[in-house]
Amino acid sequence: MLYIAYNKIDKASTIFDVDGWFDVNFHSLPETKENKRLIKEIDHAELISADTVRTPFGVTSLSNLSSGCKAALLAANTNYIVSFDEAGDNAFEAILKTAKAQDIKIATSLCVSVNSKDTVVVDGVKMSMMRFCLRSASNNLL
Amino acid sequence: MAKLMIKSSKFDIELPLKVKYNLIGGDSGTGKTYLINILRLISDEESFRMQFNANIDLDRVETIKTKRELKAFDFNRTDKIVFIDRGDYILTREDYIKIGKSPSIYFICSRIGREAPPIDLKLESFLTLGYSIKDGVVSFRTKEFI
Repeated sequence: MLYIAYNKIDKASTIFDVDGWFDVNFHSLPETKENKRLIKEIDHAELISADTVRTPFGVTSLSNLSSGCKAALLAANTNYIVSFDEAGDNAFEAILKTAKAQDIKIATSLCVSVNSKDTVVVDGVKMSMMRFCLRSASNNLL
Repeated sequence: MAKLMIKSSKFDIELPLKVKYNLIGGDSGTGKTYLINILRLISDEESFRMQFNANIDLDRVETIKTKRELKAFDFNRTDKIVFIDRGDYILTREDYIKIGKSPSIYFICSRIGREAPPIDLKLESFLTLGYSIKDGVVSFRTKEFI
């Protein structure tokens, strides 16, 4: 299940500096099918060893993954609440798939646009992802 | 149309200069940070800069990637083209107010948050970035989001 903190973001227990946190704590990644999928779907890159990725721009370290990809990897590999404020809609789509098999906790204050009927829990309330997207969009417009 | 064009044998960057404030959003992994890293090298490294041709004076290009760099930045500098990475994380409302009073042009990598930034945004301000790679040349182009 994907748990989203939207209006009730616990700032003390949420990782906001996703890039910094990832770069300091993740010099290597477990070479799991899920980590490889997240990297492939979000950054169009390939995890070729625990600490190396082949991106469209060349072979590089994990620190050069996008912020959205790092947010998804952090959410999938830790129990922390991870801010998705720097993540694109493609990162939301990718982490939704991860959340079918495990509990994922994220926080966001963004206008999100993901075409999915999957059920998510927003501030403790179950709703479809589509409904959450509409809510986040209307909050932006009002 | 006014454009910023920066080219080398390996990179081909074209960005619109239609409005003063530009928000670059869109999906993750579209090259936003990579573009700013290239611009930072152009700005900081003379040997790297020499490989590029541009239709502007490259001394005008400034890059900001951290809160510390933002704190040290003089918003009153004129005629700069300022690229700010991770705007969602490093910029506060107060920073946006300073940007709104600044005479420079800004490209800010940021998604649309719950509150509109307090700067004079036009429809043309909302951009998405994309890249393509052909014959070893990485090209960066933007599209208007709305």
